[in-house]
Amino acid sequence: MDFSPLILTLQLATVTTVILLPLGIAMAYGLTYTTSRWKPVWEALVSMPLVLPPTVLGFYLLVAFSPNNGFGAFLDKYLGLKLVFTFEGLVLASVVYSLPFMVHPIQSGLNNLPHNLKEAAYLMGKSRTSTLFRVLLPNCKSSLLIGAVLAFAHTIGEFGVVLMIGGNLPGRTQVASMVIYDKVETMDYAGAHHYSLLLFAMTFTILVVVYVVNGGYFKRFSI
Amino acid sequence: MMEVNVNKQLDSSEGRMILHLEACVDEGSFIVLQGKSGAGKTSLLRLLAGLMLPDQGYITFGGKHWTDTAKGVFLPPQKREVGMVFQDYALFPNMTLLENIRFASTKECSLDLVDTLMDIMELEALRHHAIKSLSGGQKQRVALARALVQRPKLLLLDEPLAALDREMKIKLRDFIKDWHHEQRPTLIWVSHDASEIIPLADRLWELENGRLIEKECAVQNINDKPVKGRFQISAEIEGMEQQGSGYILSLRIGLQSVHLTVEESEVSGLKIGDTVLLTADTSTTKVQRIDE
Repeated sequence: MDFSPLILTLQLATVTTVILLPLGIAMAYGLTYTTSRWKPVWEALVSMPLVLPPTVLGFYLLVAFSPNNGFGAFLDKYLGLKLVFTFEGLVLASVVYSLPFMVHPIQSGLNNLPHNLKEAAYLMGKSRTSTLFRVLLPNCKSSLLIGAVLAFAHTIGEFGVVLMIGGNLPGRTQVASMVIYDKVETMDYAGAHHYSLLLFAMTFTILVVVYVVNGGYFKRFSI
Repeated sequence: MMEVNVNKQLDSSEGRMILHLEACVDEGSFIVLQGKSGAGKTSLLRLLAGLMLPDQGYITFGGKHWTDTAKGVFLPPQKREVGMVFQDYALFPNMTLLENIRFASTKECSLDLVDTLMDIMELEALRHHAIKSLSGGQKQRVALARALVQRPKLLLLDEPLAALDREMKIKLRDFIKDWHHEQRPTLIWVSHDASEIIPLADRLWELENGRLIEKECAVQNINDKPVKGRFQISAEIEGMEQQGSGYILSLRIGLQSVHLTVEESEVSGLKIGDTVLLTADTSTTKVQRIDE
């Protein structure tokens, strides 16, 4: 069994989660506390990957980053960035596609905090940044954990977007979910089973760990 | 000098209300703020603290413009040097009791002050306890210590002793009085049961129909006038009950409740909630030890 698609999948999920965590915190904070009249528009944009067919997103990203088009050519020529059929392209697509899975739990966590925690910190002379990192985020740790885990697990399960922007190139952009598709296409059900079971076990374990940690399961037995 | 002249439209459960606040007080004043539930007392504190923007008007403190809608001035709460005890305490659940107080203390604040406040509030033994493990009264004391440790120029107390037992209430009331005398912050104290703190106050504000009404402090009234008879004392009428041809007045003097039998003619024009002055002369006053 070739483990490289699994390793690539884990690498992609890790890098995506690491990028999404600060990005998600910043966006969730902005969406929670903004008084802009455009708030519903920003919220709708962040939630789009939840309802948009992954192929639509993948298609637009493919068009945007293609070196034959203006933006893709600009990135290639001036920044040396090739985002089509590369790992970097997969990361970018995954970040966009998993964005709501990170932003929504954190936004919900911040919304559920009593408003006056932030106000009390401000009255103590604390800056917005200090208030965010020392008061707000430590009080919604479980939301951060859920956001990070959902983004990680969702990236593991991606198919449509990574297929479009990555092109299913073995060893470079072929993640585990694509291998399963290939195996089924070539009637190699045993191979498909191996990868499928591993993905199932991985994502199931991650979710169980989250629920155990988040539900204070161990605390119930502590003295 | 603190000058306030602001308007703010509030939406409450009883409908829309315009809060109009106009006041001018010396720095270092001790103000008691009264008003019915939903009268806008907390909103007034929030406007002063910079946690709420007025629709129109200005607030100046010590010659500094804190808020001025006409000039587009708004000094953020971080720069106002305001300490506040929130009605629901607003303690940080991720920190221990001690961490909550230390988080609020300024760089110049000595550790002695933290220890002194912990000692006065009787929180020493709980210093490393999590906030969620504290009782309502303990939380309220932490909130008070946290506001005082900032040594604010404006101290806003929203029912700061409501959850405490009587003994602790008296102890902390006296401590706040001494603290105010020593530190001289401008202090606004919101209380439903104001009779116990009115004697400490320089001014008494009442919010009625969204308007700030300056009431005469009974204590000031006494001090400003020559003493008649052998003694005089201010009290608030808590109840009136007819008994035979007379009335029994229930009076609150500080924390004590007192019953007084009076004639019908003496209660005409009086109503529950009025602050009255009791005087007695030599012929009617009798002093007797309680244990005799």
